[in-house]
Amino acid sequence: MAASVPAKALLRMRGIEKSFGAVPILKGIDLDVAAGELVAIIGPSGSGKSTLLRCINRLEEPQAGSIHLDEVEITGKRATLSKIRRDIGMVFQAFNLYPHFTAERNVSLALSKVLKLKTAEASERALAALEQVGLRHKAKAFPAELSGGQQQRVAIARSMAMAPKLYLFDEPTSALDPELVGEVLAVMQEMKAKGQTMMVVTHEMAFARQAADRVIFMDEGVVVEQGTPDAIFRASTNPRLSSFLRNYRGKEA
Amino acid sequence: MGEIGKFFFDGTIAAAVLPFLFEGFLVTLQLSALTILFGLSLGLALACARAYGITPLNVLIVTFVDILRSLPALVILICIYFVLPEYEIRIDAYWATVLTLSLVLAAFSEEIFWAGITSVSKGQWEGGLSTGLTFTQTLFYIVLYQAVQMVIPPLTNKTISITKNTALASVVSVSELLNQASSQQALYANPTPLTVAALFYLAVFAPLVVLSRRIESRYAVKR
Amino acid sequence: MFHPDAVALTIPYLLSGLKVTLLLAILIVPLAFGMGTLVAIVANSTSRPVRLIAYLYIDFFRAFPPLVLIIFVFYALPFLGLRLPEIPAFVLAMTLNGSAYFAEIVRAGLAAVPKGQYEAAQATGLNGAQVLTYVVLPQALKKVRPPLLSNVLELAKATSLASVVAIAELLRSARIAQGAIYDPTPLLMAALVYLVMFWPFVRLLSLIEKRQSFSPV
Repeated sequence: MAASVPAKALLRMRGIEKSFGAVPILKGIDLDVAAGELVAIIGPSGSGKSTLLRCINRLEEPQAGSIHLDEVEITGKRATLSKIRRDIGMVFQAFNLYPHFTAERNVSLALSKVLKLKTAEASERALAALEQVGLRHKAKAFPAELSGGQQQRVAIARSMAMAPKLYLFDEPTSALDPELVGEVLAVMQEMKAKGQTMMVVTHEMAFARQAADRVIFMDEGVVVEQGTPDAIFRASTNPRLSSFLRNYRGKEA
Repeated sequence: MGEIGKFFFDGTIAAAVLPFLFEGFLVTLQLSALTILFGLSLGLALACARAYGITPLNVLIVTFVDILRSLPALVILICIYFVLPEYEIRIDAYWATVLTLSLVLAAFSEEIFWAGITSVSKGQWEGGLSTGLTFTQTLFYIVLYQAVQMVIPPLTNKTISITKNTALASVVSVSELLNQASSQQALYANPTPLTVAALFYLAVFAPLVVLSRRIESRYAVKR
Repeated sequence: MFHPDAVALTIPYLLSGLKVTLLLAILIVPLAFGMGTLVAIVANSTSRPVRLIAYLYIDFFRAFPPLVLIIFVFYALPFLGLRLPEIPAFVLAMTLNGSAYFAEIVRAGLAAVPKGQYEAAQATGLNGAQVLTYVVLPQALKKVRPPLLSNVLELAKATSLASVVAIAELLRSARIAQGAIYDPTPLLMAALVYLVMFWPFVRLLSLIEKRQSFSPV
């Protein structure tokens, strides 16, 4: 069963700790993610979900613990940051597209500067990635000319083009108008179907229930509960989780 | 009024001094171009260096900027021109002016560029870094463009006002526009050369001043 | 670098120069600010021709290097029979220059005050001058505080231009002292005095600029 500890972990985190000043955000996180798995991370704001993701590609430096990606330690030595990050794609809540570049250039920049591809090849690969998110026809558009949903799909294409081993999604639909959420989730479902490994911090409970292999509930810097969507959303008796979900349903209703 | 007008602008004198003033005008343009080139380049380079957050280097940059902002340009020019020779460093008046104004513009533009760099959102840095770009690549391909675009209005203003200081070169006897006008005025004992010089300045700087306001209001609307 | 004898000889020169520098700054800054504010108010007038005159004033005097204005006032106006004493002549030239900059800054500040503020103030029965004095100007000036203060600094620094027309302010006094003792010490000491005077101001300005974003308005 997918929910039990995976046989071969693509990502292995042990004892990750992080605090901002005196405030502890992560209090020793152990977590494994198997290749091809979609892990949804839920929890109240301030629970440390985003910080956890940001520690994985070292936008935040964890103060203790170790992370291995594909059996290679990615914590520690600073010199390899760029290498680590090309293997880990990240999609942000605020898209973070470059406003002065077209959609195509947004995708191809890292291809030519990090992977050192020739212009034609980078452009071809960028267009292929845009094709996958259904936006090839918007290749020449600037971010300001795109809807929020389209911008987020370009941002997904930007990480997709690098063919990373692992994708991190940090609340990818939280900044979107409700009617635009669907198109982004659809792209993510397709990626899942193609066997990509994804960690998704999300408030979309329906998506977590339907698409995730495993759901992780975090609160106050620790993993409180994890399991299959069914186990989390139906069977759990954990009081903190129940209270969180109750709160959530109240808001959605 | 006609009499006064003739006094300030005597056609015969104007025609006679025009070649001299034009020569001076060309020197003024050269001084301006060199100041803008060196000053803005150095200012941008310093702001970029500051982005790396190397504390001792940043202390040096901020100290340099503060000193150059504190001292009047004329004081710097006089020190470079009259004091440095005492230490066997001789710079001719022309290059002393270029050096002075370039350093001053570098200091002021560093502050402006730096303000631009710090106001680019953190997400832009993270977007670049997360795809594997190095800090330097992110700075140059992603952040800098947006930073510079944001600061064009204050940068234009400051560049114009510092470039106008090329007139200070007349104090150390560089034969630029004002210097030529002053000596011609002394020669003819008539203010016409000054009037003509003023017209030259007006012709160059008035459009720039109007342009900089245009840029500013266009940006203000965008925001 | 600083020979003790040279320092001792220089100090009286610098002290008398410093007095003149301060006098010039104390005269020029308020005059230029007052004049600039008036021009800015005119530049925000509802009548187009009136506005145009203010803009002409602003652009005309911003287009000249301050030194050109000074030379003009000192060496051209006397031909007209208008021979001002040195200090008033310098103050006049720098007030024209400084007020144009102040006017442009205050004008931008006034333009940034929402129209509703005028309307609300008028609705309570305040007259035009009262609306400006009590409601609009304070807000406008607050919005443009960093460039205003920076212009104060620039005007204070520009008092050094008076040395060119033989007013014995700080820089000129230093050069006289330098001529008297054949040593660069007075110039370096004068530079030091400027630094001590203006560095705190520059630091303060940096802090304010950081706090109040540098946005062009």
